[in-house]
Amino acid sequence: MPKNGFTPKAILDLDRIVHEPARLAILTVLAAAEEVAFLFLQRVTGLSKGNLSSHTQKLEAAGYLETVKVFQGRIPVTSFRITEDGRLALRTYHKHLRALLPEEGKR
Amino acid sequence: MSGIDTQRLEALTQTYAEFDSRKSGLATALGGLMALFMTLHVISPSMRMLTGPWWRFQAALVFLMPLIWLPLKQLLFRRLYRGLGPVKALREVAYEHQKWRWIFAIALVLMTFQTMVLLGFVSGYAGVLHHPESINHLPTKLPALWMSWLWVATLPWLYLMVAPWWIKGVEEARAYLVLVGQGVIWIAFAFNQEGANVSKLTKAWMVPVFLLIQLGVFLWALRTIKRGWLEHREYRALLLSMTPKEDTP
Repeated sequence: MPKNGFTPKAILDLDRIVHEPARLAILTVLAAAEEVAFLFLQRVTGLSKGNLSSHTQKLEAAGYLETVKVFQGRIPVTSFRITEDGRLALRTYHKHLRALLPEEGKR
Repeated sequence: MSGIDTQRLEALTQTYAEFDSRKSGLATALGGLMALFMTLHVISPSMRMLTGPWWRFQAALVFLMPLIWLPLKQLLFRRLYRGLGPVKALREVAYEHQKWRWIFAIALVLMTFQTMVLLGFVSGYAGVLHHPESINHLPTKLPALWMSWLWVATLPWLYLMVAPWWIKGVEEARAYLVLVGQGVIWIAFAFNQEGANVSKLTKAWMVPVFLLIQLGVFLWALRTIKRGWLEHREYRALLLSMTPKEDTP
């Protein structure tokens, strides 16, 4: 077995929901705040509206985030919040990824 | 690797959320500007030379300045800083405590000042009403006295009442505290009656304390204007760093 734990099995064990770059970006942003508005999430990740909606739906289906809809006056504002499962999934993903990295590549 | 700069994303989100929770920027700078205006206005000798309706208008402007600031800063905040929607920062106990300490400080200062103002007001009128020879010698303008009492007694409560609904961030609470402080101090000094029984000792400490407070407010206002402006620029730079992309099918 290689020294750094780099095995095909280890790569396959990575959570594919989190591993997708757009979803990883979404979860990273959500983990850094309590609640994030749709528009901010769109701007900070650089995703298009459609892409963002599709990825957040997938993350919500996996139980990693929840959608919050509130009204500011008459304007509806959609926000997202990371769940405990989402936070755990993100932490586990980073842990796995660090284990796969060669020693000199770890931060 | 994923190719995502997660550290940058985290930093951007945290900076934005922090800004959103402080509700600072130009809105607070405006508070500083108004405090500066109030300080210059209050210490200006021309203010004391005004009489009649013009004086009343000027005095009302000073008293109502905090209440004028509240909707103005809200308008500024909505126009300038709500473009990307709200982002709530992670709850930090220390921040929450700090925030509520400021809210508590506002309440405490108002209560103290209100008591002081009422005492000063009573002593001022006590000087005028000092030992009337008979009931017929009492001033005929008693209703006006009651109107003034009502004004003095109500305004600090009005300041306090609106605070929980309008003040959200720490910087806002600080600016509001200063503006309200200025307004209430002005009440105390504006109603200073000629002929009131104020001892020489009281006069000796009252003027330096007043000037010291005004100097403090003046310095705070300059600092807040600068800080608000820098934060505003920082915020604009943050927005520019997040380049929008076209929607793709």
